[in-house]
Amino acid sequence: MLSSRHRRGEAGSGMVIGVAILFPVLMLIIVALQAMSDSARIEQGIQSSANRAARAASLCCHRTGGPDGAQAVAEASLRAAVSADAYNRIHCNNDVVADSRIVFIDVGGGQVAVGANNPVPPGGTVHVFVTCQLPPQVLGGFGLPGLSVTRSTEGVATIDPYRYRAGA
Amino acid sequence: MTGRRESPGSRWRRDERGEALPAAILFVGVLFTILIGIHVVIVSVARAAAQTAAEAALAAAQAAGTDPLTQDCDENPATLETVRQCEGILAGRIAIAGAHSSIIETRPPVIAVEDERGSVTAVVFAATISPVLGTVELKGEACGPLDDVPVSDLTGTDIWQC
Repeated sequence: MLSSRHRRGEAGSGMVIGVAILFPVLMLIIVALQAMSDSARIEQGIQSSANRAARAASLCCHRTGGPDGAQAVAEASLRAAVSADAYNRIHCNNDVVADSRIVFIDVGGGQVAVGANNPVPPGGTVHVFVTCQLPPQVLGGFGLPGLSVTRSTEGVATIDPYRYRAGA
Repeated sequence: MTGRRESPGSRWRRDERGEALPAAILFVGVLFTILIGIHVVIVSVARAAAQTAAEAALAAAQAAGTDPLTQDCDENPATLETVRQCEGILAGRIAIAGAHSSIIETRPPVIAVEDERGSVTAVVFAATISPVLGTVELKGEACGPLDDVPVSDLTGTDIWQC
């Protein structure tokens, strides 16, 4: 014959087990939400870096390539984005500058080759493609299914045809 | 039979006396998870909107030129702003107004121009409402070189450190 105390404990154990099962699940949901929020923030930082590089390249120069060309300026901007004391610093495991691509498109839609003798296309656009391999610790130290650590973004800026450019 | 007791209406009735507290814990846990989820999403969207507004302010300030004319643009008559600052403030406010479903402006943007270094910094101030923390204030910051900086400086690293 069981006492009333024992009977109560056994009857309530179903809900206790339910709580024990659901509690870790709820914690996992919170961690996943945080990881996705971090992921969105990082992606935004990469997008900002690409936009900034494209904008700087569109404002600065007469030439697409060369030591003082628009490509060099865009690369300097990307290099600064991964440096230690940058605003919205982006953390990438790969070489962001080497893996990025800078493309100039003229008003007719044709691609302008990067070179020291090629002028930036007035009225055209600068496209900066940035690829970043996120370190796993940024996403909580583990990989979430379907959440890739490789992020690619594109920054675009229009080249003002009437703008005076100081660069030779 | 263990855990069950007889009642006049039904033959067996489940003993629920030990389930009130776990059920309450479960309910509160689920509720908090939902609230935290909503909080994370709302703050994430708001932060993105504030940062976008800062980038817009920066883009406008960068390309605004060096007109020495000053006027009051930040609703503070004690200070006068240059055209470059006014352009940045206006662009930041327009961007925040355009994102009014996510954020609201708490005070006018600040555009700090460092002529000697050749850089400009844009800071916007906004707020959103979270179900967990109530009003959450956010700050968007962006900086970049001025449009009249020589190209040889732009390819270096110093001009980008701001």
